[in-house]
Amino acid sequence: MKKAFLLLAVVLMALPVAVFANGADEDGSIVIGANIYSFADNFMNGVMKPELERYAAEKGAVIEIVDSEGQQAKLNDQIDVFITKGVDVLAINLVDPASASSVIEKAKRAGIPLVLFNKEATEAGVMGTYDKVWYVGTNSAESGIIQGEMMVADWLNNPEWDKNGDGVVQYVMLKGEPGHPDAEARTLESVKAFTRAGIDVEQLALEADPNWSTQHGNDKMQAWLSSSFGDDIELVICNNDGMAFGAINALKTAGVVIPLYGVDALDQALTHIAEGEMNGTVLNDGVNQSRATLDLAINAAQGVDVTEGTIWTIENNETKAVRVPYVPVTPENYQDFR
Amino acid sequence: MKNRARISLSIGNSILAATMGVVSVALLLTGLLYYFSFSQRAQRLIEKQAKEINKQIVLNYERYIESIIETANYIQIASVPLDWSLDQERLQDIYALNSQLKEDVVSIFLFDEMGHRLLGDRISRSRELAVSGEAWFTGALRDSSIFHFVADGAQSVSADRDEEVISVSKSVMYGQAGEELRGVLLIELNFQVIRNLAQKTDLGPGGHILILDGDDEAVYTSQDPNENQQESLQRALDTVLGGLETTLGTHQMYLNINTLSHTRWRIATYLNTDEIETVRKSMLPLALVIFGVSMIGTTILAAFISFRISEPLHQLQRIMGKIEAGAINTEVSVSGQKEVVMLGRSFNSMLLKIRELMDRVVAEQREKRKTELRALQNQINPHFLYNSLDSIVWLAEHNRSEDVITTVIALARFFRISISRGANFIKVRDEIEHVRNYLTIQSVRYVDKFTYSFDIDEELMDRKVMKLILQPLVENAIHHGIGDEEGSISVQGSLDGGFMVFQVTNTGYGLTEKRIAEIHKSLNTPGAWGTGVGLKNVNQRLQIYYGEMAGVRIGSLPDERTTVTIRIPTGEEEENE
Repeated sequence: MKKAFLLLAVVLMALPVAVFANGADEDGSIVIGANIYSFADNFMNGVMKPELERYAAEKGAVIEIVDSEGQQAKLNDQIDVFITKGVDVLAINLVDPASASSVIEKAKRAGIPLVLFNKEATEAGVMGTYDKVWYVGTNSAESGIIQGEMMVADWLNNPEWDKNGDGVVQYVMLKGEPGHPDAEARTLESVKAFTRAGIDVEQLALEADPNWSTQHGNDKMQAWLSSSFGDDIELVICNNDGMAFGAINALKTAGVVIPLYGVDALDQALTHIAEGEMNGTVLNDGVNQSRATLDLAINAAQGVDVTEGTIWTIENNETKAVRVPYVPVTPENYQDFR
Repeated sequence: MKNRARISLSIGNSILAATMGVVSVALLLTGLLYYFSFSQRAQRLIEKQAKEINKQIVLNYERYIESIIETANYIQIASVPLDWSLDQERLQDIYALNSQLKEDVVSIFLFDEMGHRLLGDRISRSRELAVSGEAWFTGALRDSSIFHFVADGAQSVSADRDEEVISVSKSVMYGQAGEELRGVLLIELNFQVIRNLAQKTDLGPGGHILILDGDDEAVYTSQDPNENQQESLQRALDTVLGGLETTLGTHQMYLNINTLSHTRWRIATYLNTDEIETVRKSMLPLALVIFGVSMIGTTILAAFISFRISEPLHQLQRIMGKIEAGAINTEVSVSGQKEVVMLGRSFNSMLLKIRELMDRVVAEQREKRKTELRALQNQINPHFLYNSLDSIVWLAEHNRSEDVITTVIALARFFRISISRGANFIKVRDEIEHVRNYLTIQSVRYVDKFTYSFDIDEELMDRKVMKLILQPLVENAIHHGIGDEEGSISVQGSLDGGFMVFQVTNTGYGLTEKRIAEIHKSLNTPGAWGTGVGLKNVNQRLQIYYGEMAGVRIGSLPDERTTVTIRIPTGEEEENE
């Protein structure tokens, strides 16, 4: 009787401990603490999150994905909770790229491997502060290169695009946020593709919109069409699809057709391609970014070389980044991405 | 004493102990569980509240910072189409307007890569040459993609302003003579902004906000300078990010650290949680008090219940004690629990059985006594018969036929009374008649040797007495008292207090004191038949039936007479047959 009481007491005492101690590894599988900077982002929530969940299940890992609601403060909390719970590895989609150093420091103190994905830390040299942090994303420049190559090929196949027949590409560019790595890289690289192919280019106008907005793209395109050089525009280069949609709208309103390219391969962009209003875009390959993120995370959790047994390679020791290639989306292949 | 039963606790104490044991364990467990769950909930509440407050503070700052970044972006957009060398005035207007538009913006500048001012207010002479070495400038050029926030306590670089400022810088491109050049945009914010934003939130006594920059230097703290600022800073640096319960000085604090978007700064908030902590700490004594009160209550209740259960048993025990002491007729009546009442009833029926058994034993004893009496009475009869038949033979030899007739009649009546249809007790009248018959027979035998007389209280006559008690005395008197001279025998009967007293007196030599003592002694010694068979027989029979009170005494006046007295307690004779 006494023993029964004692047992009961011990069980009751131990109960809360057991309940709150269910962190990682209950069945030996790897537990990944992950976030999406905002579930409101269609690309992140619609492409990356489902693939993260599917691929984690395929790999036999347990992944918990939380919504940071676009607040770095929220993400900081979530990281703190993940660390307290004792996850094996963190897969973090930063809200504020400038806060990377604090997040990395936190993971370093806890000794948990950290894989940042999709949003690269902006601070120079911050990746070197911790030996177990890596980045999975894209190469900003590459999207520009691919976009450029696509445009060059189309340009060469469509001699009628050279409206004035001077052999020079007169283009306008919707740049996006000035200083943004993607915007700067794409602006530079897309044009370089022409010069590499021996085609001269002439920039008629360039618009920097820190908000990458559709509205601004529409407004600016309208202004350009009605400007002195409006009839000379032979090509519209947009550094993202959002601004491209605005430009398409402006073109449709004005009743003109000018070759137009975007980046991101959003669903709406595929529709525009199907309707012939857009000539190409570049797919930000969310599926492979998700897989690369998990491949690295699982390897890191197991303490082996992060790229071991994977198709990924680390770019260099400074950025410690795996760059997932962009994929060109054209009227010929857009069906594959629907 | 080897196999003596071990006595365990009394029922009452067992119940008390068991109840107290169970209740105290249960109470202790619930108390502890309650306390821990309360603690945990309080903890979660603290965390949630602290995080919420911290987030609110962070959002306030972020909103402000975003508005500054928007301003910076706007300036960039507005500047893009303009060429510095051509539209300097318009550009200057944009810079001036924007710095005036926002109250907190002290000044806005554009510098070229060498640190020369291109746009904005006049620069104080002392700073002019130093610009290219200042942190905000080098930072912007080193890491061009992000905004740099520097708050090192410096004053504005403007010659006209002297506020302490936060320098927000960013590498930007500007057009000069058709060329795109890299420059540095600087927006100076009044440091007061940070103070104002910090003061919006009340964090309780000792609670404060600490802002750290990217190099872990304290940018700002709202902490009282008298308190340990170093400790606060160190705690924040150790934590990096997230929440933690801690003590700062004498206060219980919840520390929460978050990053500030775009800036690489971190904001640490120390929220005073003394109050919740106090409540939590006071829970333990409260839980103990509740425990104590419940225990006392339970003790009283348990004691009451155990008393209720054990009291009837004690009652039973007391009654049994009384019965043990001899009060065999005590009726057991116990009220209380069913079991105890049943036990009482069983005990009652057991007592009944015992009493029945005892009565039977008594009855058997009495039966046995009667049998003994009969045996003793039967000893007399043959004895007398020999003598009487001797007398009759003697009379017949002397042809005294008249006397033979008288004697035989007397003998016949004598025997009829002796037999009395088997009754052991007869009326005194009959007993006297019996003696008279006997004397008649004896007087025939001992012709003129003695005279006899009766003196019996009429009161006695109808009382019953054990039969054949006087005859042996008379026989004795004749035997010992009648000698050569003519003697006399008198039989007296009277009531003396609670006794019937019969005295048979005969004249004669009498007895010495010594002889009387010898006779008395032999009367009470069974089996010693030294004296007359009759006397002893009577004494025994009396004592068997009437008890110690009854008995035979002999008194004597030497040379005069001898008196044998028997005393029989009254009151007992009636109940027999």
